Amino acid sequence: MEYAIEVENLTKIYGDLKAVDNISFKIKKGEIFAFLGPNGAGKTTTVEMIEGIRTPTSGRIKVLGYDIKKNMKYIKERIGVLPQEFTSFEKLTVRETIVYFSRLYKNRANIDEIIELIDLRDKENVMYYQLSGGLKQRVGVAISLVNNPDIVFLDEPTTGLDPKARRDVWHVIEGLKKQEKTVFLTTHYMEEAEYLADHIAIIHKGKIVAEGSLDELIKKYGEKSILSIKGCRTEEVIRLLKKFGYSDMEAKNGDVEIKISKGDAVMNILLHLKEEGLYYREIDIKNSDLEDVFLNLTGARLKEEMK
Amino acid sequence: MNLIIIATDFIASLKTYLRSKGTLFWSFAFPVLLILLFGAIFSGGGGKYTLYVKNYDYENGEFIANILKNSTENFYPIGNFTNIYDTIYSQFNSSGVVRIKVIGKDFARNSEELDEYIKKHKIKAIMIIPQNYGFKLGNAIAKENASLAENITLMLDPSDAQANNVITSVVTQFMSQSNLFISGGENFFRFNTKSIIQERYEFIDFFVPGVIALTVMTNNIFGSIERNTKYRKNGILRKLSTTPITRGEWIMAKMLFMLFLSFISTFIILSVGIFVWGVSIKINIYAFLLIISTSFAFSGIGMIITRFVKEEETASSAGSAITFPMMFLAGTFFPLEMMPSFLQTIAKFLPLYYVNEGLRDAMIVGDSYGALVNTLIIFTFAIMVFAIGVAITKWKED
Ligand SMILES: Nc1ncnc2c1ncn2[C@@H]1O[C@H](COP(=O)(O)OP(=O)(O)OP(=O)(O)O)[C@@H](O)[C@H]1O
Ligand SMILES: [Mg+2]
Repeated sequence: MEYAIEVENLTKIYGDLKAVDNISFKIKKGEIFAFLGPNGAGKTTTVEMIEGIRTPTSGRIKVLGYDIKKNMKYIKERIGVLPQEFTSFEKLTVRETIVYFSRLYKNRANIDEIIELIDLRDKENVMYYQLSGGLKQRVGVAISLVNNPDIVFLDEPTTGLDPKARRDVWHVIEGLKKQEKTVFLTTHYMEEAEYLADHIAIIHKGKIVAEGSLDELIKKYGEKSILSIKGCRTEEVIRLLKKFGYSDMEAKNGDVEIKISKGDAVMNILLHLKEEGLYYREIDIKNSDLEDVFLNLTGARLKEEMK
Repeated sequence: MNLIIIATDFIASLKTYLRSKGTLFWSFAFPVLLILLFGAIFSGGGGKYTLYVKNYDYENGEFIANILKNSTENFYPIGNFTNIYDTIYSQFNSSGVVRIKVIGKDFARNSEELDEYIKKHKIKAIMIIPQNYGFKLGNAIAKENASLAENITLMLDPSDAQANNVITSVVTQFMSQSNLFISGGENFFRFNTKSIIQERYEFIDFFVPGVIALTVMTNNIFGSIERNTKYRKNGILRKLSTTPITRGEWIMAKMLFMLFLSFISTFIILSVGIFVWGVSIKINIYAFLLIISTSFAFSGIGMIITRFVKEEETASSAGSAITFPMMFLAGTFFPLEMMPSFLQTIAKFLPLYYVNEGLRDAMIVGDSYGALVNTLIIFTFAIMVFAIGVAITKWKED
């Protein structure tokens, strides 16, 4: 059994809307899988069908090799879920909350280890409602670990958090990978997918439009990197570089922008400039990212659609 | 059913509950305050004594009044009234120390019903006018033979000596004046007395079961509304549906907790009633069954509300819109007999009415037949609404 999750031709229809439109994908055990897409793309609908909270209109789902239609009782013991926008019992402390959820399972992880792993030691006796947003999400992650699950589902665990709190949650998720857990992460932050994911599926309007590792996605759908040579005599620089076979260049008020595909091209170009004694003020390299991938695939921007 | 899971949820409910000052106030402090306050207001006794009247001859009063009005001789001044008995009642009221309260013709229609009525309403003084009293009196006066007239019966609770003295002297005075007027002193008007053998009931006796019913109702309906709106919105229900706890176990745990709360509230309210106001309470199986049924019934109603109103605040308002008028219309604070008859009819359609009546029958009056009937009614209702509530409440999303 190589795959933690196998989804085949999954569809969910709400009235006239195909919220999830005939998608298929597989998630390998032990990897962090990011489901990246803007608001309303169908992320929550998909994960909640896998978790057994919603019923698919059609399609097949296997979790740890078991069909969820027949084996949900067994599967529940082996998955941990953090629903989107989850708020736990307000008047229980962090520890009490973790203990509560732990007692629901036959298989119980050591609570102190979880508290240590999620770094909640100095908050364990604080009431849930008194915690900051980031800590609440960390408690949410903690209670998704109480049964020592093989798969952890995190539905937008960092939405609405400030950058520092987001980083903290990322570290927690990295920690899960070290524990060899499979993580199904949904997000609409490309940095999050870039930073954490081994495998990324981009979902847009209910369809998976691209899938692969970060490198694969950028290679296939991204732009070339752009090297900007700033504050130089643009005509001389362009002439020089043309001599060495570079073609995709543009002069922009005192800067030259060159599209390059390989990292070592940067070194070579700088070397040529130095040999010719051509002066420049500074250089800047902009690498292609998932934003470009998403734009190229859908004609839409991830960030704008976030609101 | 997994007992560990049920116990875990029960404990979590209890902790959450004890840490919420608002709910603590509404389910414990508020009813206690109500009892203390109302007890103080109504324990003073006031200046007037209430004399109930059950008049089996009222229908003939108008006829007699007409005869008297049209008669050339001035037998009896009936004033502006069209019914001779209204004249008499007004004379009693004008004494200033006695207040007449007439029992309507649909109540206490025969002597058994009257006994029950007296018992149930803790009546301490009642005047009973037999059927055809007026005609027989008229006949006696016409024949100038006082022995042909009938007796009016005055029933008094011997334990309240002061009230008895006042009432007896007002009645005696009225009759001797009337006799003087009619015949120069012969006893055409006369009465015999009987004692009402029953425990003394006070307003507070009536009030305590009402407050219990009210508290159990509001605890359960609002508890259920909170669970099914806030927990849904916060994703707790979705989260739970991905864990091994079943919906059955969860409902079981919550209802056990609600029952626990209901009994604790009852216990506290009763304690205040007993120790502060000296209410005498009978504990029996019906009281238990009624409280259990009430808890299930109103938890069910809460579930039904939240099936249609998903937002917590709106659902709470809907809960208040149901409980608040019901509290007044179902005879929680005041005996229903004090209200107009259309309101009394409305009350019969309110579940809380049967809880109130049942609890009074069971805990105060000790009327086990009444308690049984009311328990059966509310029990059946509870099974129905709770089953509907469970059936239409989902954890899963669409
Ligand atoms: N219960 C429902 N009834 C009707 N439509 C629904 C329901 N749930 C989701 N939808 C619709 O399905 C589409 C996908 O929603 P979903 O919540 O899966 O998106 P998402 O990718 O999780 O978005 P977000 O980033 O906002 O969480 C949306 O257009 C949404 O309005
Ligand atoms: Mg979502």
